Amino acid sequence: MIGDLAKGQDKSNIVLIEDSSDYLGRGVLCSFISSLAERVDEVHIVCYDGRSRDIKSHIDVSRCKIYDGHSDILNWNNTPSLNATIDLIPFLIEKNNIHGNKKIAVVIDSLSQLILYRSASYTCQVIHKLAYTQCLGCEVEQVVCLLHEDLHDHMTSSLVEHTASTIIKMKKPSTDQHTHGCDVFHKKISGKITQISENFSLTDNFEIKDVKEVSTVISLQSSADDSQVDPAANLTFNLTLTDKEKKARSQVKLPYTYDQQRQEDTLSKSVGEGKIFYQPDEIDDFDEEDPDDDLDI
Amino acid sequence: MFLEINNLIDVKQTERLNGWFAGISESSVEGSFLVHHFLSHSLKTSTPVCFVALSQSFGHYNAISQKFGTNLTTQKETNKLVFVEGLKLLGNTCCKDCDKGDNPIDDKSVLTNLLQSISTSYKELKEKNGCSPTIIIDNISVLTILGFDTRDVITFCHYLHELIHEDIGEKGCLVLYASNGKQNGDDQMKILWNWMCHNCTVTMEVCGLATGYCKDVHGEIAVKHRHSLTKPGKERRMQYKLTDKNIVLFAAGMSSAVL
Repeated sequence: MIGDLAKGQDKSNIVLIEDSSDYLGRGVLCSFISSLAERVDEVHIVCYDGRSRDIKSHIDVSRCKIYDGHSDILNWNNTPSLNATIDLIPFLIEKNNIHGNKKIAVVIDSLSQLILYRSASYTCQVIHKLAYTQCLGCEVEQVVCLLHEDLHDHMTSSLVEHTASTIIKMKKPSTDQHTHGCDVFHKKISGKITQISENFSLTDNFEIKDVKEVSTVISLQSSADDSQVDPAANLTFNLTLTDKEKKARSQVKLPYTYDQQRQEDTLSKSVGEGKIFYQPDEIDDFDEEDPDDDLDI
Repeated sequence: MFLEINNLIDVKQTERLNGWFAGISESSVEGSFLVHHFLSHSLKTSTPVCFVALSQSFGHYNAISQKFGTNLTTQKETNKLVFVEGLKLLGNTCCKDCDKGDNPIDDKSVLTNLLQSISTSYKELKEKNGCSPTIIIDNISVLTILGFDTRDVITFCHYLHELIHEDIGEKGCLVLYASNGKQNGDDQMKILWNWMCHNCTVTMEVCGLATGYCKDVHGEIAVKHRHSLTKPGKERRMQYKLTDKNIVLFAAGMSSAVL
């Protein structure tokens, strides 16, 4: 699934890559950029993150337009470059002369700065406008965004998740053969929702290979193994019986059961009294723990 | 300078740390020995240093550096070191702002002032020595504790990061020391540390033993390289014992006192 999404075989308007400090997502972002550069006329990369300069040094960006929004992010140095306080869409329109026939893609690395310095709702508006309203004057094939999920609260990230049509959440791979793992949540245009967990590796050219679906059964089993704690362990009293104790218990005669010796004892002791002896039938399913089981009470 | 720490982070004794952004964090034990390590490593590889002290005085650092055989006073005189007394600077800016009238103190102007003086020292050092300096800040969490908004502290760190990458060619080095908030559950410090993890090229986490204090094992260091975009960095975790002038590293549970 993630391979198809990166190659553009599965269509999606807004792809959100959520990463955390332990499982970084910029590699996957680079994979999307490389593939988009081959598919569309122009890729516009908006860099707000300090480490987004790595993109330039790692992949061929000759067909991409890069906007440096990180070197003066709050305009403290009064430079004319892009910064977080400038509205992105008017800036892109001003810098480009895009006509209707082109197909373009917009990549934002990362949304965390926009959320930090503007607001989550503003950020959602921007990516929604970019993807659906043709505000740049031509068709936007795809908007790909990176979000550092561990810099925001849960509410903020879920707000952005609702705006996106595909969410790729980076996580630990479940096997050692793969370098990356992710949960993919993909909303198709038809309305069908696919949710899948996958492991994959990235080559040095940012190609996604060895994609392997992590079957939910395995993940369920592993989680069951973790959570299966014996509640009877480490108790100060004994809940289980040894074989010897079980044998002793089976030999205990219950007061109302039929037994030759007991019957004779009782008959010889009491005269003039009625007695009830219970003798189970052969087909009776007699439950020692609960003798009244057959009563409808 | 600790030889063993250099081995742990794969750095040769004479190697300059150009382009490095190292994040050091501590929880429950003191991790400042790594700050002293980076200070003396930089000076020994003749990299000029801009040291921003937000928690200790010059005398403190000088006394410890002398144990490593470096005299900070001499380094200052030979323009190899600029010592920025961050707290004094912050205090002066606040007082100046207060004198102006009854305007509340503007966090942004206080931090931009500090940034400005670091930036000036950095550029001066670069000009005088002909190579990109190292910026060390001890300890960035102090700003959070002083009440600065985490967003402003992150912006401050962001601009420092940009400063070392400003010129094409040789990059500078940035070492930030912070508390990661894991011990006291401080969310703001956790966010700051997460931000550092996203931006650093190497992170070093110092923490105490989960089993509590031990005379012979002082804590654990976890080092993670974050250079690569395609491969997740492998974490190397070692236990350590600090002595008067040295550090002994060993794999978990392999302390000579235990074996």
